[in-house]
Amino acid sequence: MVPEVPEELRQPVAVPSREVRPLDKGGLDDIGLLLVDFDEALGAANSNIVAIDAILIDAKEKADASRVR
Amino acid sequence: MSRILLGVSAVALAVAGGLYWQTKLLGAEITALRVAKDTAEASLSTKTAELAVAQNAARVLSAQKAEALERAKQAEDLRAAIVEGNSDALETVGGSLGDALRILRAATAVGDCEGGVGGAGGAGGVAPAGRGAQP
Repeated sequence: MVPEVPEELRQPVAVPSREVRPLDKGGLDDIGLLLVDFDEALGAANSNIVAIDAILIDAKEKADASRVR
Repeated sequence: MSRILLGVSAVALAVAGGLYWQTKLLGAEITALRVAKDTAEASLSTKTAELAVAQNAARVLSAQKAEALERAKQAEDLRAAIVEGNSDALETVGGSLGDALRILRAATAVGDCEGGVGGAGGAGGVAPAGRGAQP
């Protein structure tokens, strides 16, 4: 039995490129936006990993159960 | 008489032989059918397990999508708050991201104060107050 992992979950999570202006002109807001971008991307990547893990664990449990029967 | 008996015996033997082979063939067919049934049952069991796994994958993906949408919305709100300089919204952000944003906000406020008139911005340390004091 081969577990089915949706293609979406196997795609890398992209961090959007964002232009950062010099600090003395643009303040630190841009750094804040970058932090939010990275936090969002990291959260999305971890969410995919957790989802894939849940699918694989489920598949393994079902495979073990069918082997016992 | 004996020829008739011989003939009858020969016919009986032929019929018996035919029946024997028929039974043997039927037995082989039954065995083959049993094997096919077992194979089909095993295949059905595997397919059922695969279907259950696929259903679980769809369920997990659906939950993950809802979570991703929620996260994207929160991030978008946060970006808007940063661009608008809404300090109140930043106060509610938890975790290390919230800490980092608050440190950044405080650093911006200090920068504004240093660049401005001075004293006035020092009070709250938040950006809008510091900016307001500048000439």
